[in-house]
Amino acid sequence: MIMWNYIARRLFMMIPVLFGITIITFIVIHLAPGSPTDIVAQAGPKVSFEARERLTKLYGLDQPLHIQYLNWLKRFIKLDFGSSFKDDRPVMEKILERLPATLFLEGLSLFLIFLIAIPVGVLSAARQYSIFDKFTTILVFIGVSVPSFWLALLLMISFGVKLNWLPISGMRSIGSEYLPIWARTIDYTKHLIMPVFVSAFGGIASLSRYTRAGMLEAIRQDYIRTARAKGLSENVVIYKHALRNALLPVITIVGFSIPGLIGGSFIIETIFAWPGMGRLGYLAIMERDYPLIMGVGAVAAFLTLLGNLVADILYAWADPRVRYK
Amino acid sequence: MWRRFKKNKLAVGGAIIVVIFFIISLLTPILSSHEPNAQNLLERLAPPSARHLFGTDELGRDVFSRILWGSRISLKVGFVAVGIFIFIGTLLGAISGYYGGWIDNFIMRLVDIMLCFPDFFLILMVIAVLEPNINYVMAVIGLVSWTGVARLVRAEFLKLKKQEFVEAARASGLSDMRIIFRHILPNAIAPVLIAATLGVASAILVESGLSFLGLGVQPPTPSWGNILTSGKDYLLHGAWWLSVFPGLAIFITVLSYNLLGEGLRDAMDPRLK
Repeated sequence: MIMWNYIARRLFMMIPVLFGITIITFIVIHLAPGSPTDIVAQAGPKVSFEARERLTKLYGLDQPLHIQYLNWLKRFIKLDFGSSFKDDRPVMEKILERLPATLFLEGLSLFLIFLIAIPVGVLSAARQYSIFDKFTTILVFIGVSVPSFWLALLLMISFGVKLNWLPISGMRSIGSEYLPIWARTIDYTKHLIMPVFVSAFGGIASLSRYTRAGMLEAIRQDYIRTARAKGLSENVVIYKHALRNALLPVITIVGFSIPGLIGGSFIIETIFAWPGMGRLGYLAIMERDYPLIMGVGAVAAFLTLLGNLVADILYAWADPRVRYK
Repeated sequence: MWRRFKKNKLAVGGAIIVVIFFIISLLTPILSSHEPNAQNLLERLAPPSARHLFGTDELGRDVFSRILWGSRISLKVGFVAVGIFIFIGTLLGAISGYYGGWIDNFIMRLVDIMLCFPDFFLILMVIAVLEPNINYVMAVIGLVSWTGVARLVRAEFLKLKKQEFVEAARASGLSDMRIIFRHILPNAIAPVLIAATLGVASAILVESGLSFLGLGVQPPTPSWGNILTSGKDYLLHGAWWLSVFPGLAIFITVLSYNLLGEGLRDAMDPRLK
């Protein structure tokens, strides 16, 4: 019951934030000098004055700004972001067909991040100042400082061009749909390796640092001294008592890493020509396809909000103290 | 504190590299061997040699000289963007923490909203809608990245405003502004300094990412990010030097600011050591 109250309260708190997201998206687009109809007109210089008038009416650009916003908001609630300037297809349709590729890539990266970072962080805290700890500390600094697109380029040069082991772009090879299932799986996996590795790289570094700090703090608590005083073995103390408490805040990191992953997907998908939402957003930006830019921005923000909500709920589920606050 | 910092070899190394790169960017006109924009179509895509230390790009321009000139851009973007976001973040965080109540609530909701947008996409969106140039890049990075500092400063203010010296200042009839900026803020400066150092690293990363995508510093002005764009375009030609060297410059710079920032944190807050 308390849990439901908590979720309801969190959902309620999301309303002003959602509202803010729509306002920011709207304002950003209206920073643009000139009118969006200029862009459409650019596509075909022969677009007549009448046609531009019609477009202005269609997009409601002759209305005052706050009316435009309210109209846009009404459609936004129905998840209708209008249609792309480029090919006139509904924005939502274009995003939805690309979203699975992004979620797949980022989901795998997130999984890899947790799989590697947590054991590394825990081990280096348990053996603070050991060679392993010092080594991982240096690796962590490298991990958070390497620009992801540079790492991608280096991997593409060495494994793609020089060694020719891995494909450097796309999700599958041309003609792969005619291959038998096992060959197709190998083909897809090969295409996945570099993008997943690059997008997980920075996350692994920061999460393992975070886990290490959490562990070190947990080890310093009174209940650890109590556990040691009881004569429990060091392994039980660290891997049972300390670990459980240290992992609690790690849950919230799921929420925080989502904006980073989505933000990174714009660069990574562009480099690897991965057919996901990030690349779609990048192309939309390059083509000034405003409805599509707004759509991608709103969906990205919404996914982040959702990630935060899930993280908060998980946290409340794992730590009863939070529910009563 | 200084002694603790000196013991941290990684941090001292970071500090030294930061200073060296700073000097290099000041001495760029003397150090660079060629005009950064001088084209030489006879020497297109030449590999590194004694004449062209880091090789040449697709227009025959000397990559070494372009990287040197690029260091000025990167540092400029780093420092200006950080200046902007530290200013906004400190101001809003201080007001939020000191006054509390509805104004605190309002500012913190604003922070929540900003945190929902992937930073990089928000910056990308704004830059694309305006026009890509270095001034917008600096301004937008600054305007988007202040949330962390605001939270930090707010937390410090919440802690400090209950202390006696603040009570004393208030009792002696000082104005709020004076208490905030002259009495509380100097005590909250340590975390801000750390955030600023780490902020330079991330601003340089963001700028190079934007320039790499063609949405940051525009050619022919050299920047580390836009040299890497040529690196990507001429990847299949085997022109590895166009990717390796500018990336290395970004990496070493960002790494040294991160080391310095973390070293400062450890020195000022020794709990985790």
